Amino acid sequence: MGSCVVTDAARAVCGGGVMKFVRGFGKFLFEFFVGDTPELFVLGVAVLTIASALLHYLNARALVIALLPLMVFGGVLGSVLLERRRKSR
Amino acid sequence: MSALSTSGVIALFVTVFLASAVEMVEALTIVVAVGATKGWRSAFEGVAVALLALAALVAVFGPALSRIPMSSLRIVVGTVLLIFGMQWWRKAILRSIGLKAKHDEDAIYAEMVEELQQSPASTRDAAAFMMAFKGVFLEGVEVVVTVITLGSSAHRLGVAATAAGTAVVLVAIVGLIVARQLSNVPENAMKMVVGIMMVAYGTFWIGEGIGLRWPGKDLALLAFTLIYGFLTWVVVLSLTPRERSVAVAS
Repeated sequence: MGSCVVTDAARAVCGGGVMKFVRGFGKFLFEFFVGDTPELFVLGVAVLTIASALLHYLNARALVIALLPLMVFGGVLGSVLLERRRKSR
Repeated sequence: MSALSTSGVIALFVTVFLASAVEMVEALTIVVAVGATKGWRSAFEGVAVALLALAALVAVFGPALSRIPMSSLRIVVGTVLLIFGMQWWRKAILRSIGLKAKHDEDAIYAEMVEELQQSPASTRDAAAFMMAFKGVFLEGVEVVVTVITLGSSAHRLGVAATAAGTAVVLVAIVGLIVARQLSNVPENAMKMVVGIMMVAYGTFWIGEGIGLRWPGKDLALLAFTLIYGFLTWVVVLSLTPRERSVAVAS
């Protein structure tokens, strides 16, 4: 980034370029992890939080073993049904 | 934490191989469209720069991941795989039950050729270069994420990289032979399998990461894959419209 400190004009171009890159990368990450299914992103985080809380605060190992895959499948099924309802409207 | 057993290594290889093959088919469609329409020079230049950018990504993130404590890495990787896998799984279900159009490589190819033909021909074409670069880079990022996340959390980065490399070479060879017949690849079925396996890994690593010991250890991975696969079959069967399921059955 040495060329960015030469002149004001160069700084403006480089600064704009960096901002554009950061914005573009942020948009790419958002599309990558959230995209058109924010419910799946929320579900992924929720699965981790709930499973972790149940294991560490209640020591409910058997419950987590049963609940973790159930939550995952239930979430995907819910998202499929949601899309089905959207399309049938 | 123990390394994966033989069945775990095979499952890892198959998952990375299928995921990489699917992404490579998509990238190859774009590169072939660019090459056939605008000449191979710009297409290959785009591919080469994209591969360099991907190698830089691996060089930066690969060693960085090895410094993260294993339990934290497995939580992060498990969550990423879970979210990513659920997206693939959901899309494959929606395509199977007819709520989403299947990924048609022929249609994508035709659309790209039409778009490229609108720009004037020259030996060095910026639009063709960018299209080839973006196609390979964006699909390649998904391969890199799959290799790094699955490989590093299983302590088998070499196996994951070999699986991805094999898929890349095989798809490239098949692509050269069949050229524009990439639509014959059963992409939705492959995406379904990869989605289910990624979610199985995600479930497994999240559990391991938070300190859970799965019954049967690595065999839990196989159990998740079978259970999710069976449940998917039930969902597809029960949500597919009746007239369509009769047509599929016949």
